[in-house]
Amino acid sequence: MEGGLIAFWILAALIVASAGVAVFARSIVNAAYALFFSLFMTAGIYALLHADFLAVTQVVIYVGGILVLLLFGILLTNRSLEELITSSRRPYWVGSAIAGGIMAVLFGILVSTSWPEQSAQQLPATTAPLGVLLLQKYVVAFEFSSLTLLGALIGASYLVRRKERD
Amino acid sequence: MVPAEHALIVATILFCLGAIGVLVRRNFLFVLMAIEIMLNAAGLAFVAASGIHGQPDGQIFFLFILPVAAAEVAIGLALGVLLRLRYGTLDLWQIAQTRED
Amino acid sequence: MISGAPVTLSLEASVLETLRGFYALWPYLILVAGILLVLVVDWFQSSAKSQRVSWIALLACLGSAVSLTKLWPTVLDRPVLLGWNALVFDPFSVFFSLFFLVATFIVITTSRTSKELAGRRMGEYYALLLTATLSAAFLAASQNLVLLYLSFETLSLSSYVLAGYAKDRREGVESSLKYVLFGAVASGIMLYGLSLLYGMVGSLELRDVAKMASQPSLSFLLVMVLLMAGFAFKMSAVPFHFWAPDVYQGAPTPVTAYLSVVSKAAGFAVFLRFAAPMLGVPLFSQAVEEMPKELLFAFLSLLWILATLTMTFGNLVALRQTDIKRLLAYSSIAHAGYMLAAIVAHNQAAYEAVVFYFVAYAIANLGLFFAAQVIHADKGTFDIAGFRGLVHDSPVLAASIAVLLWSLIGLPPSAGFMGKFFLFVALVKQGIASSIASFYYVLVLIALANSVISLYYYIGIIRQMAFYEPSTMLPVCRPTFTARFGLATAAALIVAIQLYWQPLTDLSRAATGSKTPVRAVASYGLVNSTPPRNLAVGDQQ
Repeated sequence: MEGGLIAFWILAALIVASAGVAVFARSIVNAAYALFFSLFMTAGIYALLHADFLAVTQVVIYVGGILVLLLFGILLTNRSLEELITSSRRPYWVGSAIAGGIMAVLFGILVSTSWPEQSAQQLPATTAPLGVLLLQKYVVAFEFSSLTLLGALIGASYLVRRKERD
Repeated sequence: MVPAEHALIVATILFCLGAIGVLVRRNFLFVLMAIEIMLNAAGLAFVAASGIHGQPDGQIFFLFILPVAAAEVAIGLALGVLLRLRYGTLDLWQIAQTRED
Repeated sequence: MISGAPVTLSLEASVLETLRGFYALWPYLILVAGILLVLVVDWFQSSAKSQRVSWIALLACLGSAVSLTKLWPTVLDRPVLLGWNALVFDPFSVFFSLFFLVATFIVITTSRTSKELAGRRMGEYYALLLTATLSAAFLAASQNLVLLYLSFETLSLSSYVLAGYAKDRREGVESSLKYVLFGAVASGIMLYGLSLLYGMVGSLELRDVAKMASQPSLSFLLVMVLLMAGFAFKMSAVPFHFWAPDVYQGAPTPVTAYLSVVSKAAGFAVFLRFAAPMLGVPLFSQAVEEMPKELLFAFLSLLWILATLTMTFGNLVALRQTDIKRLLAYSSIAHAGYMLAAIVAHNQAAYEAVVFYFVAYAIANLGLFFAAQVIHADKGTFDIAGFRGLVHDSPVLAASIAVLLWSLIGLPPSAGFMGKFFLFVALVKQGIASSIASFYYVLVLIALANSVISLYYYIGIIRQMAFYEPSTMLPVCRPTFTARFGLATAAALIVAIQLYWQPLTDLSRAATGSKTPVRAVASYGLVNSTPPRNLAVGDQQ
């Protein structure tokens, strides 16, 4: 087994384990930290998969932006420390049954698909082709994503505004 | 070289973990985090698929999952603040029960 | 190395390529301008006069719709592809854009008089409403999975906030919460399906996805199951319908009307476009790839089961409802079931029938939600008891509501009857041509049985309005002239479509790209009912 593959499986195990902690933890702070590790190490897998630009993006935006936002949310919505550590779970069986069904479908797809032969040609540095694609083939989506963000901005600011301005 | 199929397996496990989280947790913030795990899993699957084909298109899709994830978290948290204000709790079960009373 | 990405293009050529077909984007740019203008102008208004910005939103809708009708003859000739083939403007997407705009226009007018929204700042409301409409239009027009997902999510995100716009009421917050939870999960599942789809196909273009359908594979079908989660959520079809009753009930009534018409239509539009090549329906430029028989049958069976469950569940639960908005929510689930049933027929007639049906459904639903809003404004309740003895309060209102309900049942004379008729014709046609005729006939029978069930609860309301004395506990309902006029117009349209359905069938035929003389339709405009003169001349020669 070559080094890259070993590194991949170590990372994968850590990602899955920390995602598991994020899902099942009792304390929300622990969960947030576990989520942080999970997302952070996904960036490592991106680097191994020759997605160098995305690895950086994952760290800067996902970990640095979205997760910090989430942490702020946790701090804003919890009044006491007591609440931070008491978060019960629902009975497992219904949820687990549904999730088991989803898992069966997904693994069914993985097993039954004859994936195309992995192209031996690996992408070189991806930043340049991504930039070109963003401004050519996906330019409409690129522009449209600004509308997505504007909508979310308007919506979120409306929802949290305590007093109507006049 | 890392076979992309292996990354797809990891993505599938992650996605299912997220789905379990959404279904099992009672706290709204936990559910939001589980949704983030699901989106992250989908992003990983896109990058893996992009590796299979040796094309950057899948990576582009990942870039577009980012604003959506950010937007979803923003709206979700705003809603969390509102829930806290109106119900005094983020526990989805309690919220569902106050309705029936 | 990088397929389909002409990196070597010069800057000038690249810019020119981006601007190709740009004129078709004007209607949408007007909407964007409307969104920004609404936000900016609202900033300078006092809270009490915030409702003024609705004029801007109305104007934006109107301007966009007018420029779209100007685009209509062009796209009838030849679909316009633009933005590096990311968007296609063919009669299908332009028709749905127009449909969304008209519905949004009506929703804005009803929002202006809504008591549930009174006293709030409306800038964000109209901005989000227009954003949602723009996303819905792009959803119907998108040609690659990236834009499809983005517009799907933008539509969802703005709807989440709209559903909870009455944020100081618990029901409002709960409505938004339910919508967010179900929406995030459904779109997450769809996103994962998209990633697997990309892994199989190796391209994000819809037409390449269509080619994939011609190779038999179980995994492709399973991926379709995942994608159906997203589509079913938007259509509010089983098993992703759970959000509908609570969200419909908790959201402000104009938003409910919007969700039940525009958002649902967007779900159907994108599903119709996505599935067209797989079902063997030539929807304009899309190449039709024969799906292998077994795979097609499995896919149809999936739709068959979903359709049956959706309509039966919707109708049975609607029987027990006492709140008009919840009742209409279940009824709208049931109607999604009827339309899914038509898609099972997978022929041109089915596509036309769905478009026709949706127009009839939209008129009735927009009207009924407006009626609920009018009654709520005076009586302060959404309970069916509010309808009791309405004929004594306002005969015009009661009669109009009765006609709209009649149309939802699907009894003649009404547009709903014609819609159902075309749905069944499409199914029977397919049944005659097919070797497994009973597959289609049984579905028709189930749909008929469902219509009979629905008769019970719709007639229940009509009976309450006509044969009971008004409750003395509730104040009298005195609708304004505009309200009565609006509802009477909706009712008149319903009857008019029954009497003269040709323009609407022509329109739905043009929108789904049938072989009928497309040019002839173009020459006499969009809804003008006079027969084409040049066609008659052509016949004589």
